[in-house]
Amino acid sequence: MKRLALVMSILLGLLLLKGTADFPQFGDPNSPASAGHPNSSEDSHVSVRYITEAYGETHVPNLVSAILADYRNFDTMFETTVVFTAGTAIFLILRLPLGVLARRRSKAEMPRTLPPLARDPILEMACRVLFPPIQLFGLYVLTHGHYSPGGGFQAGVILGASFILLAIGFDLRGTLSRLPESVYNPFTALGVAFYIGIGLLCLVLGGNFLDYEALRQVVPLSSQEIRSQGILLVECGVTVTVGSVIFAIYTNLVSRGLHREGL
Amino acid sequence: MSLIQSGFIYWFFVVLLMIGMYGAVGKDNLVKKLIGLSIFQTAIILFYVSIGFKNGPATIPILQGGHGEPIKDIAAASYFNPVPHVLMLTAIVVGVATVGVALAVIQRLYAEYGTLEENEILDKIANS
Amino acid sequence: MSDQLIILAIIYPLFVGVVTSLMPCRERLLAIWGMVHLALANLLSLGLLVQTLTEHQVTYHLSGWAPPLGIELRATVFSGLISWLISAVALVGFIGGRDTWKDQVGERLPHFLALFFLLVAAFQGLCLSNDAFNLYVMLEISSLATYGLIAFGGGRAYLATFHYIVMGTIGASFYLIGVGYLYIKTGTLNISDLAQILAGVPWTEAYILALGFLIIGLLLKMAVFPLHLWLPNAYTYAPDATSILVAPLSTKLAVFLMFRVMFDIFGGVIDDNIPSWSLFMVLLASFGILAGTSLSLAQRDLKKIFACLIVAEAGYMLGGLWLHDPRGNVGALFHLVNDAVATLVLFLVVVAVQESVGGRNLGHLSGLFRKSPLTAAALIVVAFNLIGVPPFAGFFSKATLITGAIASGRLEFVVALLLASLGNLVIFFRILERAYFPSEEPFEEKWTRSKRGDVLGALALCIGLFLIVLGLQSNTIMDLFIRPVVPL
Repeated sequence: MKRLALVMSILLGLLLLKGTADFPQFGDPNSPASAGHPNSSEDSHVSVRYITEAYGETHVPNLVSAILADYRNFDTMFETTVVFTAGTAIFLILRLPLGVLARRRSKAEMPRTLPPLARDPILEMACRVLFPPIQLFGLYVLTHGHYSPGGGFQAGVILGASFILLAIGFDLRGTLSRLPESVYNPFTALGVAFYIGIGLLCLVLGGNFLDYEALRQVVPLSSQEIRSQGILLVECGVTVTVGSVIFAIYTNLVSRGLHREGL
Repeated sequence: MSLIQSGFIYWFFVVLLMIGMYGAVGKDNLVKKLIGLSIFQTAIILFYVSIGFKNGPATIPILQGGHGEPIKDIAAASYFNPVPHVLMLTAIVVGVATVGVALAVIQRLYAEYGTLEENEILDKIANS
Repeated sequence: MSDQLIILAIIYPLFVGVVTSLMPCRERLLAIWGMVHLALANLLSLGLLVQTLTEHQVTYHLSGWAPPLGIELRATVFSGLISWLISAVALVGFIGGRDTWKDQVGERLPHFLALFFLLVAAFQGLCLSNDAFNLYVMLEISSLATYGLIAFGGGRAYLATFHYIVMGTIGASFYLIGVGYLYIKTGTLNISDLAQILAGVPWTEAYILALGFLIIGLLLKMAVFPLHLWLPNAYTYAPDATSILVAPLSTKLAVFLMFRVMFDIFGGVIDDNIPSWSLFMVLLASFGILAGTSLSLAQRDLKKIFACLIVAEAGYMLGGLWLHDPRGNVGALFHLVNDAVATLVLFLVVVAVQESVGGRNLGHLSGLFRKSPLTAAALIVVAFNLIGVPPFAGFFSKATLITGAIASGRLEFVVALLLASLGNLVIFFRILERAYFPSEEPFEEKWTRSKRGDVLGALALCIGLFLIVLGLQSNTIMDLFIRPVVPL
């Protein structure tokens, strides 16, 4: 098997290299990806148009956020759905009801007494002190994602990480008593539902799906401003889902679905 | 040779891809297979991001002077192509999701069979 | 409203899926909820189908931006048909799998159904999207939802899911490499744009390799021999409620995607530019058909027999798509529809058999004719369809494929198709013989027979009879839905 894998990998590598012989020069600003192909239909290429026009249309200097949450927000909606799907799939796989666990008779899951918890005051104090700034930073990354690298996914991960820090520094059960499964599980769905809801609102108001222009009938702002706010709203939905899913994945994986003890 | 001319930079992603493929297919330990898969996906992310690079006075695709002062004179050559970055944000998330689900499955496999080596698991299945 | 049908076909199941994960775990409530929403989704897809028939092509600019700036959805007559097929199979699969919820799903029903709906939404997206990267995201959502749904089965499903994860991710990543190579050479992700650019350039190595990687990735997803290793175990050990939805649709949508890559992106002129590939692909397909059928012959578990047949069917469609002659392509696409319905019947029969006789090994089948004649009738109907007996749709799809193969001079494909019919005859004869004659070996009778087996058998029979309708109307269907999208 190893020899077959080696042969396959080398073959794959050679094929890929053969294809790269044809590629445009690395870093060429006139390559088709950056400046357009002569045969394509539009006059000014997509990439050039994004760079030059995106600020004028959305008032968002971070071009990646603008494209992610406005021009290609359909993709981002499905990306959020991917996160939600992963969280739900892990939940389904690991959170087996205790009856099923007993039926499957896997010895590793038999309930046993928990060891006494060792508490470290320095660690606990450090986590306590760090927790609020991390959350604040997460919110900052979310809202400042228009002007600096950031956005919904990054902010969600930071927020989720703050809870994971609590779970590692203290214990899993304590953190779960503060953020129980009955709270974070619905939040995973609510973020995506909010995102889809904005899209449906645009639909109901007469525009296309996720076309922020239609929201101008509800909130009287200029076209650029409504796009900027629409991007922020959509990123909020993403943050909520990603934050809860990251924490959910952590608790399920680290406790093997039992939520009794963590790392 | 045209391979070296167009950019040996692409060789990095090819080598990473080969390493990832070998790990995912050739290794017996389930976690090592998963790591190989992760390297495989990371190589593709590297490839896409390298598509967007521009030589010369080009910087990350966040318009300079965004705070406060009105932005003018945006030249396409002074910013990287933002599209591959956008695509790869999605690809990274997909990779993380896949690794998460695979880890959950590996945990269940360990609880079920007590081992993480694929040949041992197959033996246990054949003997049960 | 009517111009929003195309987006609603995707968004409606997605939204319902997300909301379903919030619902309480009450079986009856969820059953009614699911059926109502799937029926509405069916209406939406049907509306889309009618719209594609009247307007010939429906496009939709998401977020209000025209492509290639934004993402575009596009529906042709054939995608309209597939969209409706997805909703219809989902509805029937939902109803058919409902009886297994108590035993196999239990308390996690809301989350299970959430993944079910998300899978339907992802399939719709695969069918309707016109952006190459968006298709990758849809492919990954459908894969992730399938991993969760299959792994839920427990026991041997875990290893099957792990193999599926490794092979499926490699396949999707190859697809992504292909898209990347195309992007670096053309600068666009929109499929119509790609087609326009590719029509005017000579195909250098990067383009050929892009096509190659796209094809290999899709071959992994289609489970064509020798990349089929994940499929039999994954579909056999999955919970029944999962396999009823996944088995008819997942590989067929990968075939549809390959059709789109070959004809929508590369313009259907692959044979003119790289003639040797067609040779290799049809040969591979012929081997695949024979391999799948032989694999099927070696199994004793009914569900595994049917899962291995899917591997053989993938060979039919792959070979048909790569034949020179347009009749082969038409046959492959018609076979896609036919096979989706036939696989649905097969997996419904598996559930019905389990409800009627208590097991699904060949040994358990004895006396099926007496215990549940409707299920046995459904089995006969689908057997005829797979063997290729007129007036079933299977005959017409095989006939079209064979005509196309002879016209292209690919006799090995004809031989494989005929041998596969023979193989299917043997497989189903074995099954039906066991079902008809009571066997001598005693097995435990302490399990009680449930009437639901009859209901499911009746449902399977109705869908099976629909195959006759499909067959009798095959020419009309091909004219209306398939011939317009296949270049002559």
